Amino acid sequence: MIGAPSTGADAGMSFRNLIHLAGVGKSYGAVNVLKPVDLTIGDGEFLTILGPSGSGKTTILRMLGGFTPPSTGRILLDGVDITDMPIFERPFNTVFQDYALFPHMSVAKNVGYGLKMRRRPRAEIDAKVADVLAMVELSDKAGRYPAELSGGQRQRVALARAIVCEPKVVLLDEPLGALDAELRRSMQDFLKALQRRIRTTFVFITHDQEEAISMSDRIVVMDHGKVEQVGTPKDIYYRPQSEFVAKFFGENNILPARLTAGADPAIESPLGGHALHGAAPAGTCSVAIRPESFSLGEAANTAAGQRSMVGRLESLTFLGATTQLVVRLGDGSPHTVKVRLPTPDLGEGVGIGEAVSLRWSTADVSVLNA
Amino acid sequence: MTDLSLAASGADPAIAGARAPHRRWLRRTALRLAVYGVPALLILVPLATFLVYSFWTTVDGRVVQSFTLANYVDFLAKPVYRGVFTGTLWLASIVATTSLIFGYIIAYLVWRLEGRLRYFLLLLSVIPLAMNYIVKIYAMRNILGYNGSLNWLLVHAGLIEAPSKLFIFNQTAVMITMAVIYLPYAILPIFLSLERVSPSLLAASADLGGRPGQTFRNVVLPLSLPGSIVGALFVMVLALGDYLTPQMVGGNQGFTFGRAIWSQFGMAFNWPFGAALAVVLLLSVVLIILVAAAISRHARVK
Amino acid sequence: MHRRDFMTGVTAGLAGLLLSSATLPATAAPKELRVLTWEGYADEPWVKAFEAKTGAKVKITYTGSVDEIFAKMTASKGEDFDVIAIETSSYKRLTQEKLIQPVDLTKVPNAKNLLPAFREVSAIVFDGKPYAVPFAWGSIPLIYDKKAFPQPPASWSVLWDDKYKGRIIAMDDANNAIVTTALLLGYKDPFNLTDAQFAEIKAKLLDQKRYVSTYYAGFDDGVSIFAQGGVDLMMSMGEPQAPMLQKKGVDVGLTIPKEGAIGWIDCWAISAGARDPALALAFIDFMLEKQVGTYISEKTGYGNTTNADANAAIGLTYADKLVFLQAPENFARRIDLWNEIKATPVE
Repeated sequence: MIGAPSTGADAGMSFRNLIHLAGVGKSYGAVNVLKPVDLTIGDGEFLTILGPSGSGKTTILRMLGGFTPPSTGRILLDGVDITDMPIFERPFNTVFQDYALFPHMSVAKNVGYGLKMRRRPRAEIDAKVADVLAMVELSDKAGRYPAELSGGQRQRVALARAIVCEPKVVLLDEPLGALDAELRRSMQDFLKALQRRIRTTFVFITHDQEEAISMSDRIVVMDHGKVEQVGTPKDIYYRPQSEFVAKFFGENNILPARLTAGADPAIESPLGGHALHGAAPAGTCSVAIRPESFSLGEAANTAAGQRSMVGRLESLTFLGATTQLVVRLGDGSPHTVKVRLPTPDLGEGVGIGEAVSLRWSTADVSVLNA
Repeated sequence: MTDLSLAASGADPAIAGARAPHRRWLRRTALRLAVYGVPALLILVPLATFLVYSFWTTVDGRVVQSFTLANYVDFLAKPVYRGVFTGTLWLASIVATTSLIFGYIIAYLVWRLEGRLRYFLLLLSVIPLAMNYIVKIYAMRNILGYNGSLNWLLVHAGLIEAPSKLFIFNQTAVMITMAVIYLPYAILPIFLSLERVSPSLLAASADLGGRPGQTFRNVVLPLSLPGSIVGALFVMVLALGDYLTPQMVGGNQGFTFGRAIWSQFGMAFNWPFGAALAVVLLLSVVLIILVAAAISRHARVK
Repeated sequence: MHRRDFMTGVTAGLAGLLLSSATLPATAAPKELRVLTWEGYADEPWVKAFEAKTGAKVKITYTGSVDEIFAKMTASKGEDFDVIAIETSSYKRLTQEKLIQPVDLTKVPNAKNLLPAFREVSAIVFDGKPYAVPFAWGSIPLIYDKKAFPQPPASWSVLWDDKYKGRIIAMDDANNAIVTTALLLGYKDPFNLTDAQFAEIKAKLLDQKRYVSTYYAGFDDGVSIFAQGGVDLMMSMGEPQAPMLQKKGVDVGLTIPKEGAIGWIDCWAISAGARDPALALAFIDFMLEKQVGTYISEKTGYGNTTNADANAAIGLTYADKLVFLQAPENFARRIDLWNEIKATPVE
């Protein structure tokens, strides 16, 4: 297991490996909530685990934190097996979904709790708490009780409490879920800036795709207890490896495809034939391409690695900066694609029912697992 | 209560609201009167009667209906009653403390359990509430008595040679019996106050490096203690008024304030003095309840 | 009082029947006798016989306590009842509050049936006039374990004997404790004690506390504690406790020590507001029939006042050794004294 190539290494990130989940899975009786996962997390990385509810993302976090023992596999920290290490000994701290602030303690006491548990000297606790509170801009609220704070303030107290002990990893369990949209956006920026500043590994759980894409170094997409794909936001967005991932982030064109086997395997789809990039997974049966990956242009001007095709415009929707077109791929073709273009690129020329020439790069066509 | 009445009359709110706001107001007022008035009548009238009685006096077994503070002066002047009063307060506080400690331990152990077993054990620990109180006292006497099961056990275990009278007919027996009988009254509120400690707080404490003992001291105890103290004060109130348990197991050390009150009725015909003693007891109970209310309010503010 | 509990079981069935017939609407017959009494004192056999003999209807109201009798009597100055049954020590208060009237014994021919010990009961005579007629009686005897005492203890002083320390139980009753102690100390009038006598009794009872294991609360409580073991002596609450203990397998005896013991007598009296005093007298006369007395002794285990043989059959031959209860000089003072004794810690 440990020797297997890890997805973290594949992504080619510049982080030193800190944590290795080796075949970690979880089942309750016959119910398998998490199929064995292999994953490495880099030191200083902002890793987001993204998925709909019930996808198993929280289970991974709980096993990392030590709240739930895994049913299979081992968890390694700097090469040391910590699978059976009790919660209170793990150098990880968690920001809970409901913040879990101690209602009977002041903000300062809440933040200093971890240091107190570690029996740090009083002066050190005071100094560190003051530093961290300044970092989260709550210095003036040190004496308040959680019940006297707003949602965003509580959120920041929870954050301060989790980073004050300088943990190796901060685990964040959908910490922004309870905030309204505006506050959420500013907290996203705040969180990302803080993470950059303290250079601590963040493992962040969310079900919000935009949040994941805008904040993360890497994203682990999960569905039905299974890791669908691990990669940088761009990877995930432009090179989805499964239909689930392709559909999960914004609009996408998914077209049926056929694999041509042989010495030089290729893929045949309504967009024509492509050589396969890398190894073709078995059972591949569709391709995906983003609406914005298309541009307009004659076949004559096609550069290397580019393809073009003439289709017929079926509809046109003005969206402001961009305009969305629906184009039938050739007369009588059962397939259409959505195309999104910057509105100025469109000029005046095209009318419904007229021919349009689409151009795209074969690199932007992703082959999807079934 | 008023919500109920609204819901009942609000089957068709538009019509009811437009047609008969007055009638609805009347109905609501009548309901409120019934809801608050009847219990008030049932509780306050006897209380008021007692209060009035306590300012009367008896001459030759006959009640003289003229205002006097003589009964209260008597209470303060007669060292017997004053002494019994403070002794009973002391006894009740010990019972409350014992119930708090053991009730807390039991409630905590039950609370730490998971799933069905937890509620089964909780049910089991409060089932004695449904049993007749006198039956429970008799049961305790059968356990603690000279030929009781405790002595049987100790003799058979070879710990003592002959049955001991150390467990029955003394102050200790009263405390043990009361503590056992009133334990469920303590367990329930303590369990409820533990129930209010969110599991995520325990997770947070452990996550921040708190060992189980530290988590208990820093999180569980401070959060559940106010509610638990309220439960203990409730037990104290029960113990204060209990005159049967001391009578049944207290032997020649089992004289309490409740029995002093009781002795003024029946053949003694001294209702006014009995009423005055009862008013003193009632006032101390009210005081304890106020303390309990203050504690729980203070805890909630945090 | 305690002994009624014992009777309740014996007569509950009968009483239920009687009660239901008694509450039917009054028929044409104008003669009605309203009786306020304890369960067991107006049982069907003789009530029916009385009704047959006089043609009157008997309406019975049962009571559970002395307090209740006073409450019911004072509410209407006695006009709601014709005849009541109550124990001797209550008569002082009843006559003071003018709730009853004197009984003209010349109109009670069966008074001749009264046994000698019940002809001159001073507790029910006021201003030279008898206010009631004795009907049933019992005592506060000493009950002992025969294993500890082959011979019955001779004196109440056994309750102060070091040998039985912690093996004695006494009833929790101020007046009984004080009167019995007064008898032991040889006081002539245990119902009108001087301050000095009060002080001596207090000292004596405080001293006794060291020997007493517990003050029990009632009939059954005393029996249950005694039967639990570790007890040799009990200042009892009444005769029936002895057979109850025998039934539980404790071989006990019952004795009236040489100083005497407290006796109680329940007597019939006529309410001050009686509608038909003649009918009331007729009822009381009927109650003094020997058969009624026999029935009382056989059914309840208490003494009757008319048939010495029936008394002897159940061992109640000691009426002459008893000091019958009277209203004490100051009940509140006795209660206070008793409370003080119970409240004083034993060293």
